[in-house]
Amino acid sequence: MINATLFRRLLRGHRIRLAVGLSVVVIWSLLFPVIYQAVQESLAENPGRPPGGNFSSLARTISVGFIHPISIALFGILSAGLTVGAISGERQRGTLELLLSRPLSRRTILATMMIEGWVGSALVSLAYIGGTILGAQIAGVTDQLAFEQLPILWAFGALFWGMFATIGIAMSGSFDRTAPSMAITVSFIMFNYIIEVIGSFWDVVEPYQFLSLFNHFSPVDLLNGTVDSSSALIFGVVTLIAAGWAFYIFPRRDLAAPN
Amino acid sequence: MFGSKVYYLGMSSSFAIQTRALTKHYGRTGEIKALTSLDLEIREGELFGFLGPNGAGKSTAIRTLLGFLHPTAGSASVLGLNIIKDSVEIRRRVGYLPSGFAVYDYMSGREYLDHMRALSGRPSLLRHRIMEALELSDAILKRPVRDYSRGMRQKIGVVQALETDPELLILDEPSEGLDPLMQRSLQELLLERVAAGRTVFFSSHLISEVERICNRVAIVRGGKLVALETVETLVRFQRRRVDALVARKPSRLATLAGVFGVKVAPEGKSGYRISCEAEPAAVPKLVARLQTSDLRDLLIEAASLEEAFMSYYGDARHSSGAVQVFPEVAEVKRAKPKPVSKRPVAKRAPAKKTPAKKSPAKKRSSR
Repeated sequence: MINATLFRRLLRGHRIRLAVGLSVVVIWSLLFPVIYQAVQESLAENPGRPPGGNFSSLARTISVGFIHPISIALFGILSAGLTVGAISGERQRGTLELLLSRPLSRRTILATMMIEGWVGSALVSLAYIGGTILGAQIAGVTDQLAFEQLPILWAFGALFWGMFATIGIAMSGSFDRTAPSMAITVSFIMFNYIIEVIGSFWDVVEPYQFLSLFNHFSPVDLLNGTVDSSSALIFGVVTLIAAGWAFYIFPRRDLAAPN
Repeated sequence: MFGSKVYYLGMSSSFAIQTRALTKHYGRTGEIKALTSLDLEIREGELFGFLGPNGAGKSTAIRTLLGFLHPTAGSASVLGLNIIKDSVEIRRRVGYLPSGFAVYDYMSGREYLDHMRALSGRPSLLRHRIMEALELSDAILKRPVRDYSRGMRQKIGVVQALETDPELLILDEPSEGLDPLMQRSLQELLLERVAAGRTVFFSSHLISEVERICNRVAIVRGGKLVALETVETLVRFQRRRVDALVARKPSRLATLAGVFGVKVAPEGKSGYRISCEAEPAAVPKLVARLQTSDLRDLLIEAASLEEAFMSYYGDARHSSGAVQVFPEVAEVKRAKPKPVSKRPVAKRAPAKKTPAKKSPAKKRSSR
């Protein structure tokens, strides 16, 4: 179903982005256990200060890092960012028709590019968890880290961002240029994120928070072992719908000569 | 939604490419007619030229054959395989060079070629031969493609299309960006492949190139096939340009059937300079009439493929889109006035009594 030669070339084409991006994610994520430890020490030195809020536990602190805007940008670049220009970018550059001149079906090309997006999602989730473990060791709080919950946190992170990567490839296969596919994918992610953020402090929007996919991704619950498994179902269904659209539309599209 | 009128017909496997009423229209109501009812039969081992200006439908036809576009109606086969059902298998056996060839800039030339060959799943059989012909060295292939000139990129495109020795080569403007020497080398390579039993189907803006190497030519206009014949036949039925010097002013030349655009100008004491165009069948009568005016010098310039091509494009009235089967083409309403041939004008020679023959080569007669 996928083509190994094409897959290797895709990874190679994104190798710098992946190397730099994943390194930044590791550095970024290791900060949170360190920040947590610093907050705890500050609280211990000043017992009169109010509790740390989102920094009151290591699980909460890691969760903040997972859904921080910087994390959203990093995760987005390394998951949906790999797929959103996969087909439309090749089309725009004029390289898609050489690819299509080879004995590869459009479904094979699509599946290979989709898998690359999922691999990116899995790697970025892994990098975040790796950085968290490293940060916990640096801060000396590994005893507070729920190691047994980390695989499920990784899986949910990979599934969550893999979902956006699938939406990215679906849009990429629907347009001849990267700009519209990127605009739609980024808008979709931003819309979901904004609903979640605004709903957290605005009563009017709060009842609609469930509409945001971010509302169903709760790293703190995952680390505490209280996650609702229906979240995975929601992410899975959205992924299937996006993939279904991609596999429907791309093989049926007319690919006229690029301008 | 896609190809609702497409039908499947049994296609002959002796044709490398066969299309029947192949049609591609765009838009919700099919208002953009990129290709209309194309009927082509390209035999195996042919070197077939596909001519037409931008927007004529050449690339649409090629892209439909390769499965990039879905036909609106009609059917086609490539190497005996249906273009819709067997698209992947067709692409396994076809070498393709698109117009405006693009590459992955982060790769070296060698990496790109190795990658494309690996995707094709076939061994590289001709890379060294093509590299030699196109003067591509190993040192050049080691450089990143982003440093290549346009011509160098085009050479890489030619290598990737030809190196696995595919049964059929589909080349869209293969000479684009190549200098004249490399164009000639490419033509030799294509002739080699045809001699080895391969089929070459290529579109070009360079009519001289097509005239030089192709067996047969199709001319498309506005998405319709307007001519399909051998180069020789296409040229044979084009008007000749006649230039004569006579001692006395001839009478009623313009009334001769098949003679057009007669101009008579006095030329000092020598007599009169006559210039006109004539259909091949009218040339003997024209020469006979000129002889009655004491013919002193005569130049009959043969038509070129370019003139044949321009006869379909120089006249907006000539837009019926009907395929002309020669020699009936002689009855087609011709463009007036015809464009000047870019062929080198032959050195004038004394006129002979013998009338010019209906041959595409330049003819001279003297008296």
